[in-house]
Amino acid sequence: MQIVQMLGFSAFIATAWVLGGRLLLLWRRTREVPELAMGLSFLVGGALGYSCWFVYSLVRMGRVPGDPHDVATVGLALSCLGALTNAAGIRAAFRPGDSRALGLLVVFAALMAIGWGDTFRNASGHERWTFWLAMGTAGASYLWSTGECLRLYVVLGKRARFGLASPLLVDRARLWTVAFAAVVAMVASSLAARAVFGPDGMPPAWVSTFQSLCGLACAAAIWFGFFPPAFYRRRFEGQPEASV
Amino acid sequence: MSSVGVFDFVCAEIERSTSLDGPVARGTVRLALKEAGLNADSVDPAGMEVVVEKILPGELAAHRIEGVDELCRRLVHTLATRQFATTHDRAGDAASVLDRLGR
Repeated sequence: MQIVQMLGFSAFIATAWVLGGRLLLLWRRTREVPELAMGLSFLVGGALGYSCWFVYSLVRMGRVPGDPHDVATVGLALSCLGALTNAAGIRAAFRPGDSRALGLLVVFAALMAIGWGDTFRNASGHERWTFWLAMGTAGASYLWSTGECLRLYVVLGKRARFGLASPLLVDRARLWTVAFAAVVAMVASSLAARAVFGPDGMPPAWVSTFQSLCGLACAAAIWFGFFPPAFYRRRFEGQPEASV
Repeated sequence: MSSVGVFDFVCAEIERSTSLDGPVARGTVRLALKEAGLNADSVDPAGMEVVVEKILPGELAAHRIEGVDELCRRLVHTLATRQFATTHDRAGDAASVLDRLGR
């Protein structure tokens, strides 16, 4: 089970580093908001944030010296920034110019700022309800992302039946949906574990295993969804193509 | 550039050429668009052409409309040759972003 846990965490963190970097390199060419925002989200929230939570678990187990609250505060900041930049990327990609989506972003930012600020100010802030507020809002922002991707997948799937959308793009929309759903599952399971076992309690191993499996699924979905390798693209060759 | 949208044009032609009244004609076309993952506000001529060719005949036949083939042929010809008001397809734009992020 520990091998599965290590594999899942490592795959997710490694994928976040690589894809975050690739998206930022793409942004250098295109200067478009979605790739900048999502690239930052992968690096800050995925690679750095998730690494921080991994360190947090080691500190709690006493394997690494440190103050759990300090580590949790940094982890929360990284997770919130990652969620916020992801939401900004989703808005730019799916709802550009939409004032309601911008309003939602502002609400997300405000709630996460309140949650993190209170956590930061209090010596044991990671036990307070405001920690929940910040993490729950981050989870809600990924749930929004999941919904937007799912909606696109359904629409493109219908269009593809009549040659109005690329089958490869349909499958990539499906994979984006899976990736974001896996992130929601990771956040939700973390919060559930905290609710049941307390912020400094030790949940059973199966909880970490579940999160690792979600991390593994997310890593695979992100990899194939964002930068599909050539062998994967070939699966869709020979199918009716569309302009997009 | 015409100020008439694709959807309004097709519905008006169906209402003019068949026994269907306005709301029924519009509802029929909306259903056909929905089946193809399109909607009335954002469909472009190319998308409507596909809908008129592949889906609308079946929807109109369900209303026992005669001369469906000739009507659809005329619609396709006009859609291919005439200019219509520009539309904004949010799903299409999102798909373009998806495509760009994979390059």
